[in-house]
Amino acid sequence: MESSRPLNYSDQEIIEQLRQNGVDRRKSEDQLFNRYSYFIREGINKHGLTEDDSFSAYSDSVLAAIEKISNRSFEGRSSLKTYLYQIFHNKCVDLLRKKTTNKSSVYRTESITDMLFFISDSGKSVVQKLIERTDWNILKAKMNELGGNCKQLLGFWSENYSDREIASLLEYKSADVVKTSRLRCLEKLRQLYKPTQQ
Amino acid sequence: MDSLEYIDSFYQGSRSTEETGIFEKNMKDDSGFAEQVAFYISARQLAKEESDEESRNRFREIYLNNKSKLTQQHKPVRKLWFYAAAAAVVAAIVFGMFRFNNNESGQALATRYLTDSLQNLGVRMSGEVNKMQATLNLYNEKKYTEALQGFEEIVNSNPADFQARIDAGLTSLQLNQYDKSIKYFSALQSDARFSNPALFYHALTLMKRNQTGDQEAARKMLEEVVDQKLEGAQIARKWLH
Repeated sequence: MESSRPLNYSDQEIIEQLRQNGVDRRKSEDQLFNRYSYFIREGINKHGLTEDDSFSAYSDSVLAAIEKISNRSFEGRSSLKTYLYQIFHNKCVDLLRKKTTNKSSVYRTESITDMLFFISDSGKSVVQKLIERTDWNILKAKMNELGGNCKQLLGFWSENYSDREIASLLEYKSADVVKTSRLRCLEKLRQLYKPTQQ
Repeated sequence: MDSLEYIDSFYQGSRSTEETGIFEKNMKDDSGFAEQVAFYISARQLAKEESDEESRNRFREIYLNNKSKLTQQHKPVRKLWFYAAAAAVVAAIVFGMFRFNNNESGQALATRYLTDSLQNLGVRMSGEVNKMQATLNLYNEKKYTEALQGFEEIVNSNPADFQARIDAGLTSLQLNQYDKSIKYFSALQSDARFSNPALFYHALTLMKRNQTGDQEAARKMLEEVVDQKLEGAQIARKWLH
């Protein structure tokens, strides 16, 4: 019986697997989380966070790093450990400063900013005002009304999987079929959500 | 739908300066279009948050599993524990019957664990996602015969699918097909992956089968799970103590 559980993938291997968006991506995410999970202890000892807050800061840091690696914003100029630690350190400081604010709303703002990156400031303000009016609780409830297939499809899409990768994972005939199905799911969600906003 | 398709193409494809300019003009001139852009971004954001929540839950499970290892490193009581466990084993042999914690028999513990903790298998990633999800649904609906058939089909089409083989072993166990269950778990025990519950499940199978020598063998396996800090170590420690 072999005793060593962790597979010692190099940082580069983890990065490659996260960029490939294949069946091994979840395993790579788990490995990345596990590899530097001792940061949680640092969050407790150095920043005086509770274990739960330190875990949240670390989990969110890993998720942010995964997103940046996956969409290739992370260019590998620093080591994965240094990069992750910088994010984690900032999250810890944010948590200490904004102890009373809603953590998920902070994260939400960051991601929406990414989506608005390509648009000029005047265009951004138009869309931002409309997004601020979004009733997240209702939208979430309506998303839960979508079937499991739609939710799965939209989940992969939100994680930057390409339609071709989704087709391969979910056994769709082609990327075009994925695109059509994905847009149908979005339209269905819009139709469910729209009447609640009138 | 047409607007959503256009918005999707804008975000999914490469954007020229000219295309970006037209897109922005549409947003400013057409409030309905701007609303659809806002909806598209909001929907994607929400889907991301739901995915992230699943990941956080997965990370929490990993963290809690590993936490016991870190705690144990700071507690030099393993030798004492080892002698205590050895004494308990000897005592149990003397009395001719193995009892686990709370004086509950191994078989009763295994039955309770199967009922309490293995009635529902969560969403897993597998090479065959659709098929896997459908088979997991069968398992969760307690249609174990159909579920076993499903898992075995996945294993046959992809023998390297570790999770499907684990699930096939668990389903065999739910059907009291102990030999088949043991065959699956034995074959996976040497797989040196980060998270491998095969040895723990092998012990669970023996505890449930309860033939002569099964409880002793299960206890040894659980001790190995604890010693090697394998998946299931926390439960194994609880049962042994």
